[in-house]
Amino acid sequence: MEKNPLLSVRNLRTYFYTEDGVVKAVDGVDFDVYEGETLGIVGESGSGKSVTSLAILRLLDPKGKIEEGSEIIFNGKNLLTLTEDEMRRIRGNDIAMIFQEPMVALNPVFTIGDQIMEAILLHQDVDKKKAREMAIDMLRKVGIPEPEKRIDEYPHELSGGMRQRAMIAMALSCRPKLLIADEPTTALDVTIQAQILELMKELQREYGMAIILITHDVGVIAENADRVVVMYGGKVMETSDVRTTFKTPKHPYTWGLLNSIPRLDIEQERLYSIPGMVPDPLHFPVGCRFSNRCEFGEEKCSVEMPPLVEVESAHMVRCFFYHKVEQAQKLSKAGEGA
Amino acid sequence: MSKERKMNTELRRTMRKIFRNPSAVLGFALLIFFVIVAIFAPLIAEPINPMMLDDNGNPMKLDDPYVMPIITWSSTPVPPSADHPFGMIQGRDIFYGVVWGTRTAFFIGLTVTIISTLFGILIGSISGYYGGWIDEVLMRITDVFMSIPFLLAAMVLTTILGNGIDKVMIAMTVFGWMGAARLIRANILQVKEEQYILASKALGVKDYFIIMRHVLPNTIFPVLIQASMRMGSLVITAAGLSFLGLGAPLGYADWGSMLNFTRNWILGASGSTFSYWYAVFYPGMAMVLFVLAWNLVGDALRDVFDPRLK
Amino acid sequence: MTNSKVVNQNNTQEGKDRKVLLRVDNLVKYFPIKAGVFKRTVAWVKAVDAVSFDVYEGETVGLVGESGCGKTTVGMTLLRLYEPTSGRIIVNGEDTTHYFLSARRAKNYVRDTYVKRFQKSDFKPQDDLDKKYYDIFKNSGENGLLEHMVGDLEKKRLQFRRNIQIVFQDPYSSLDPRMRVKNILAEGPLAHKIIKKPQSIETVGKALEEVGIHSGHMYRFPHEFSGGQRQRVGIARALLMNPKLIIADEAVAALDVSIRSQVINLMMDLQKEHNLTYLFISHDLSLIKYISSRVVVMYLGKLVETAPKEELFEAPLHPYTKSLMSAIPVPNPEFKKQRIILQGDVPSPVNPPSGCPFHPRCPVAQPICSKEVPELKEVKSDHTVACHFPGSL
Ligand SMILES: Nc1ncnc2c1ncn2[C@@H]1O[C@H](COP(=O)(O)OP(=O)(O)OP(=O)(O)O)[C@@H](O)[C@H]1O
Ligand SMILES: Nc1ncnc2c1ncn2[C@@H]1O[C@H](COP(=O)(O)OP(=O)(O)OP(=O)(O)O)[C@@H](O)[C@H]1O
Ligand code: SF4
Ligand code: SF4
Ligand SMILES: [Mg+2]
Ligand SMILES: [Mg+2]
Repeated sequence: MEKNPLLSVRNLRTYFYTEDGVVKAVDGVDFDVYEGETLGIVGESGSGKSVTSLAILRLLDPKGKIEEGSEIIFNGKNLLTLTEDEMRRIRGNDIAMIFQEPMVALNPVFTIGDQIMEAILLHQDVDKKKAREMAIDMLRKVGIPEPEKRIDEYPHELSGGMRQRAMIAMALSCRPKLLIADEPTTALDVTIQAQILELMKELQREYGMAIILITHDVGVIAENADRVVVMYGGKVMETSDVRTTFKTPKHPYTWGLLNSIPRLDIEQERLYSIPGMVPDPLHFPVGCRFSNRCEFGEEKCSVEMPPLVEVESAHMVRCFFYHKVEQAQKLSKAGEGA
Repeated sequence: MSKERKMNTELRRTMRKIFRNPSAVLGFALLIFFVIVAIFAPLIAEPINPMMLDDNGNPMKLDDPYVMPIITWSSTPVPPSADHPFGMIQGRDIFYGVVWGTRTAFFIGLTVTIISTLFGILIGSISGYYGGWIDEVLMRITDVFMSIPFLLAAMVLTTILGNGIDKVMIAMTVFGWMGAARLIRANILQVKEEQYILASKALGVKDYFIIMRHVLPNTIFPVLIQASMRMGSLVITAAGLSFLGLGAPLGYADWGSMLNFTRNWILGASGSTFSYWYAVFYPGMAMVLFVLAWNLVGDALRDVFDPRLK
Repeated sequence: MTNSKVVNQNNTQEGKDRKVLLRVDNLVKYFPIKAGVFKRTVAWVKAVDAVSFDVYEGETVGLVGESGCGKTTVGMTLLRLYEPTSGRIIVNGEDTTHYFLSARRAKNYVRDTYVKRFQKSDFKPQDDLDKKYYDIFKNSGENGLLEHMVGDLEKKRLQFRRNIQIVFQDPYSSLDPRMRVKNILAEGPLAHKIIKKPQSIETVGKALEEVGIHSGHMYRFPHEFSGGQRQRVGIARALLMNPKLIIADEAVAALDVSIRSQVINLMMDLQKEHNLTYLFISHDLSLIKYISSRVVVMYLGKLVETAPKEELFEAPLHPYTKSLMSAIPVPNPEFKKQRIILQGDVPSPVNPPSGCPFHPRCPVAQPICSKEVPELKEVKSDHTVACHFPGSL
């Protein structure tokens, strides 16, 4: 049963033209988001996660340019061909976004109530009184205690967790079809993170919206996403459903990443470590972006860029030698059993 | 022995860093040129008055070489000639004024910069180091000084104290220390929080060394760089005040007051706008190059002292 | 000093085969909050409130807790970068609490803490330290004890600095940007006269190689290194002092995921080679599980539970520990775990809740919890908990 994706990103390339050279922050990214699902995008700092999400909403800094040939199809429309006015209607209405640091997204001189009401009034045909009621409702929904009182508080009067809740209330007040959450819990404590993620799940169930969840924490992805996109050096390295990625990763980077983090669920003798450093985006290695750190690589890797290929149903991998990872994975699984 | 060699390589690295950068080289070259002119001013432009002879029939030595002698009675500017390469204005030799004006520029710039910077560092470091109410009081005083427009303050002060180079310098010092004070205070507050200070304390390094090795280098160089950049702009300000007639007296060897002479001639004779160009060009050029030199040197210093900027 | 008694008993049993390197006894650190024109103290941040734990030689103790619970403050106070408000810090069997006070105040501290008690007729030593100091007191009197504890403070301070070192969280602010790595690394050993200047190049070179940085890079400035490499430099700086204990405060938190394990592995290798002891401070329970042998859990300035690693992760007894564990995202979609979502925010340490600090969020709180502060009790050997109803969640 072929479903039509809500959002499909095709060959997205976003370059920054800086004094030092061209930063290919996002360089050929493809993925689909289906209705009601959570797509996790995971990758290390600088891999292009935020730039991808900003590109979807066309909120890039002026130095950044979405290159020719990129396509962002939302609900059948290519967002890249819309006028700025049409785009503004999409933002907030159909696609909403929440950020890592709610403090930068909330305006410090207005109360949170003002800001939520503004969003409601902008997109829905209601009067002020009704909007205020709706805002209070929304705050209650996101778990802010005493919303009648809190609605008149300023962002700085709230704790980090409360601020993130207010941010979510604002984003969801117009019932978007797609919510992009860029590191929504990175700045929060784990017990608060658990609250926020739980809240997002509940709201998703209730509203049926799709979520793009961006994070560098593979644990958060494992517990909250349905499908995963692994990014490295501005490229998608692997994408599949969440179980497949975590159980049988096929890209050397995914494999290395999963083996290099300390985990609560298993005993670990010694952590694997990916050698070398995260590459500077001005000087990516030739060929495969991971070739200077990859332990499975061969000569071919530092000459030619591997294509993203479907190695099994709905499992795409960008690697020439992914079968080597299969073997290594089997070996380590066997080792665990012993 | 090996230590010396290492010192040398460090010094050499620094020097190489400076001399790789053409604008830094230009800055230092200009500055050295001005220093030489200032030092050898009596040889380059002999302080004598050819219009007056002493008992032996030689031209008379000037009592005060900074007062430009009147050497011609021509009231209109005289264009450059072999004897007077920069021409003459108001009866005075422009070349002489430019040469001796270099000394004046250094004198004003260095004195004001050094005194106001030292004072600013003192206030700022007391403020930043002790914090609390001392900081509060000192910073409010600083704010008051900053809120007064400088030109206005200088004008008021010179009307009270009277005209003259020394009065202008006093005004510039009194209203010129706040930048340094604020900068060093902000830097100290920031550096106090840095983990490398804590790390050194945890290593058991003595407070004195922590201040000398970590706090000072990380706070004082920006102030010194700022000061060197200010050297140039101070000379412009002083010139501005002289131009307004507040600073150096008429005929003083000072680039600003020489420009003051040109006020009547700036548009040249009727019909030929630029016929008296030399009257503006030479003193003006000296000033521009002087400012440029200090700015380039300041930039170079920043590059050397701030390893974060390559 | 009720807490300390409990902990101390525990160590007299265990102390035979394991040597206590560091004993933190009832450590308290309050920060004043000042306000108004005259900067009067209007309240106190109770950052660390009566924390006691031991660190044995050669082990790694993980100190874990959420942001603001006082982990860093514990580390800084142990290092005496902050002076403790009260409590004792015992290193290698000597009380070091007074080392960084002026000589006069140090003497007062010794008189108040030991001499006054020793002079009482019904005095009974409470721990090994009491015994040791009481012997000195009996044999050579008050002056003898003062000489032992306060004599030559400067030397004691240097010795203390050499024994305990720190690795900071921020790879960017922990190295002086104006100094070359060589000078950063040589600073400590030179200050302690462990080495002489001509030797410094060789010593620094060796230390750099040991942490996996080419020794030729010693003339570089910190900004010429990546975050992971800077963190290695920070480790080398600590290592050069030949310390017994290294306090690592979120030492890998700022690093990229793929760099993190390099540094963790390096620290573990160095531990083996140099017989180092670590106090590893982190908010990341997974990391703590991987690296430590014993774990200390803090909440709102208080110690809530301490146990050997295996025991803590298999059978946590404090409701907070258990909730914290369930909140950690596990990178395994098939892993089933108990989901406990705590309600509410962490309260402010300025006005901590009465009784058990966790009671407003605790799923199993009872009326007594808001009235009485639960004491730290040893419920099993080497496993202490501060809860009225341990194991009830
Ligand atoms: N405005 C900009 N100008 C120049 N380069 C930029 C700009 N914004 C981002 N970049 C570069 O693009 C690359 C990708 O950045 P991005 O913010 O998408 O990373 P990320 O995956 O979100 O990382 P993080 O986990 O740190 O948020 C980085 O190398 C970054 O330096
Ligand atoms: N120098 C200080 N002055 C006043 N309050 C302080 C100071 N340092 C820490 N605090 C307060 O003490 C409490 C404990 O802080 P601490 O830094 O020890 O927490 P932490 O557990 O290290 O947190 P994190 O995980 O965020 O590093 C916090 O409420 C903090 O605001
Ligand atoms: S293509 Fe080669 S270098 Fe790239 S990930 Fe695969 S094996 Fe490694
Ligand atoms: S003492 Fe009470 S409130 Fe505190 S953790 Fe135990 S059960 Fe919960
Ligand atoms: Mg980002
Ligand atoms: Mg901390």
